[in-house]
Amino acid sequence: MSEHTEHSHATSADERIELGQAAWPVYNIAKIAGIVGILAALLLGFFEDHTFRRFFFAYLVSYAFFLSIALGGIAFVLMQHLTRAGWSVSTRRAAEAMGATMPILAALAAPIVVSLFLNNGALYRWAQPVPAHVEGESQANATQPGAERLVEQKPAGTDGEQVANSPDRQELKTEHPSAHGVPPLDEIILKKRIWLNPVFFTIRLIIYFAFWCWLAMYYWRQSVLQDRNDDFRITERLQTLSGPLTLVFFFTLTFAAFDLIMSLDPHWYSTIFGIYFFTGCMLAVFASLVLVFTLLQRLGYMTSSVNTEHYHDMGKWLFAWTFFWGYIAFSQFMLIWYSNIPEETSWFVHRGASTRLQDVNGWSWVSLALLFGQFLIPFPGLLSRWVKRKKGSLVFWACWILVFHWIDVWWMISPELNGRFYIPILEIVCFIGIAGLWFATYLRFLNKAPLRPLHDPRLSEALVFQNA
Amino acid sequence: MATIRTDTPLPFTLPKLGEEYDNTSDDPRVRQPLVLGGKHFNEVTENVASISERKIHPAWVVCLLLSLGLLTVFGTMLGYLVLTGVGVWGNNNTVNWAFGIVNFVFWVGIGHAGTLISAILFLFRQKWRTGINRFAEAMTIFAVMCAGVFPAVHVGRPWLAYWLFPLPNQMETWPQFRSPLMWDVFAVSTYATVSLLFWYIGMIPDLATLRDRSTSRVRQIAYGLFSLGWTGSSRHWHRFERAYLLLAGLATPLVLSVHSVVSFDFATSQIPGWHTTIFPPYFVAGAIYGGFAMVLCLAIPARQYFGLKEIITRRHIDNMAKVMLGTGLIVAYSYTMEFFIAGYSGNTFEQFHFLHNRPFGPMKICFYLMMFGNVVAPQLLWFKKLRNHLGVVMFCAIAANMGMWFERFVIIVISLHRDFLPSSWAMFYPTPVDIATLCGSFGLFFTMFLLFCRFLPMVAMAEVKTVMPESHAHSPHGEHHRWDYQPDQHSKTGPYKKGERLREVRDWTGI
Repeated sequence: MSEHTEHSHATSADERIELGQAAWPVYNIAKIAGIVGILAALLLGFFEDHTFRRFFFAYLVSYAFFLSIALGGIAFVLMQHLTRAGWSVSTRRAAEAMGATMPILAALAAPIVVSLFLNNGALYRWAQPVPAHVEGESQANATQPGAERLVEQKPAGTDGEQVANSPDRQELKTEHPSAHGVPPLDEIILKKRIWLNPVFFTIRLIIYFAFWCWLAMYYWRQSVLQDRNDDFRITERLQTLSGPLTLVFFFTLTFAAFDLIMSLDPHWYSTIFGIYFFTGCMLAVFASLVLVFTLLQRLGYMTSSVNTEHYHDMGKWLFAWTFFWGYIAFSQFMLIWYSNIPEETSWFVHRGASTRLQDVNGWSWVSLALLFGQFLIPFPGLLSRWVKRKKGSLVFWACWILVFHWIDVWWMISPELNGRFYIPILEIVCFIGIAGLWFATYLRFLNKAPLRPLHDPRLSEALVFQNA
Repeated sequence: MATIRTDTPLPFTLPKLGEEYDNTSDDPRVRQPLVLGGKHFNEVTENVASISERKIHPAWVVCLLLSLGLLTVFGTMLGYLVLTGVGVWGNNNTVNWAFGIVNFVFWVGIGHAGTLISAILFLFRQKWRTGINRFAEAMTIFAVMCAGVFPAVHVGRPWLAYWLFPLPNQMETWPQFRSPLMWDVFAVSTYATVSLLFWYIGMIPDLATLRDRSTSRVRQIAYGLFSLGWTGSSRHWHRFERAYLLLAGLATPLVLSVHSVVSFDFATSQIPGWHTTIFPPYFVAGAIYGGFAMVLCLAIPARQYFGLKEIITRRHIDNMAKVMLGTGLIVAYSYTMEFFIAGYSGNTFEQFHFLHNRPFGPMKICFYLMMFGNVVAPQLLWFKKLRNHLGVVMFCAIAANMGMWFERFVIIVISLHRDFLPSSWAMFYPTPVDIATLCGSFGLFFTMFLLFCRFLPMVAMAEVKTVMPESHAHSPHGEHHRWDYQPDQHSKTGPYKKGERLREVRDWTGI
């Protein structure tokens, strides 16, 4: 990029914007890595434990990670249309293609749905069959309102805070489920069966993915169509639709975050959780875009239509979302810590994010790593202007943020397995598998159309735009 | 692939909307002009500066007298409160926070729009903000003034309110830093300071303009004093712009922090309806919603009566209405999360509060007024036709202000009046003093605002000029010389492929 800085506009007529044949070797490698990775993860998962519990958790981590990139891609595209942005037009196709990977992600959700119907609560512990006698009992209990019932509802031994508060903590800890065991259903979970049951959960997943796939493909297709028919009214239509679609998108994203991640601990709830996950999506997409353009330009594509000015703006957004992540994560943690209500603090206790010494476990270090790695270090790191305008430093921070975003997703999901800390080897193998398949799909979509819009009415603004 | 041309040629004049030019179009091929009427620099200055130079209009005097009347009510009520005690309010043991805190949060919330417009929209390169930022910032300062009064008198012994500050502890008192109320003191005072600085620094070039145009000695001295010897040299401008950018950077986190800290007052507790993790962003969105509603309430009449329709154009109104819709939807999203999670949590108290006491409890009318103002009314703003109707926008803005006041009432009073123990439940009834104090606070707000309109530059003249085509001298004259947006574009050739046509975004200012 060094030779393509401020003066790049003059040398731009020969810019390559079609990926063409060059993509195929990478595509094939990615595809093979994907298939091998998934198979290896399955094998490893089988040897780890025969119910595949560990595998499902490891799979969900990397799945949620790539889902967040794709969702971020959709959000990016919607926002550019919503705000009638000019600067971002030349970067938009890459994000549209990220969103367009949604169908493969829908297909990759299969193991999650399978885990539900294995009926053993391997991944979501609420997805266990309800014992007949409990069913009748809980129906009767549910009809009795009353404050004192709340106390009884605390599940003994499964709730981290309850464990932590109990005087004979050591004794209870032995009752904590083993790596292969799943805590039984308790009254709180039974109360939630109306929302958390395998059939309704699957229906909701289908709704989310149907909407996301349609949304992403619609925006990608229309944008590609405009390359051919040069019709400005496509932009007009896309920006008119972006308002209501953003609204629906945000709701589906929130409920998907509740379903896929928050319901792993069916006792816990946090109203901000959807925004927390969304923030991760935005961090993921801006970091990914920086890396994608760097890679493409390394290979000689898009050498001038994305330049220092665009990197600078993407860097600003990375900085802004880093800050916002700190704000949202702090709000969630501080409010729960301060109020100290056991059913809420349990979630952080599982993650060792507690100010009590006896709650410290392996996850404590991950929690601290997040505090520093996702917020306190990149915040000053991305603050200054030259860091965002210098390719090398921006790429460094984009990689850093992606790594910590993965750690963030891992930290949200894996402690729910059994509260123990694992070296994430299986997680990394799963990552390679999903990454391969996802990246192969992404390449396919990049290959199907020019790498930037050709006839967007605001393209000229993006090409000559400068940060004042 | 055959190329299908579907372009319709662009018209060269703006359509009309009643008597005004309609620059609200979202046609992606054009960036709309932000200053209408073919104005040039001098006309902008004349238009704005003359507001404070012409003879005082009787209507302004009548408005000022009315506001002063309300301000007198405010002063009287506060005096009565201080002399008698907080017992003159309707607060009781159960509902120990009521109108005082509701009004505080209401006014602080209104104060958010100004800084959002001047700081965040500045960083987002939203050029339309220049038409409205000055009086939105002024409104922010006045709203924060109104807000500051309430916690000060709520402490019971307002003459000791200075104990809230961390004074040297020979007094053997030290504020409780673990209390979110303490954080409020710092958050709000920091916000007030930075907003005031931001407002004042942005005003210096315009104050100098007023100084230079002054004909009376008093005006010359007053404006001369406050324009700090501004000469308009390039060095002054350079430093001014650096300072402005830095203050924008500093003020941006403050837009989030103030109302987040206000929300901590509630959310750090354990009371259902107060304690929920979405509160910080939810409060910030609500504050921006209410703040923009207040800006619209002031801007729509002000542009009419002060002849600013060509500077605060229909596009400005349209954009503000869209911001209201967007933030209103975030508020609606937050309500949904609260209600959904209350149902999902399995927590009896949460469920009682959200699913029973709010919609069906004894104060349900407040809940429905809140829902109407914050969720139902802004839906009108989805439609461009309705956004183009000033009456509808004004209606939505007033509904939003009402809705946001009731939101705070619902959160504070309805949550408190029925908590965990039915034996401690109680009702809340406002006393006439409560109501008079609330109305009186508008007196302070409007008095300040009317004085501001009369004596200070209501529109940031210098900034408005930067979004006019003339400020970009190097842009080629001719067809595009009235370029309002991305002016540098025409001096360069875009990097396009051979044979690829590149339409340039056209300006429409040749009217």
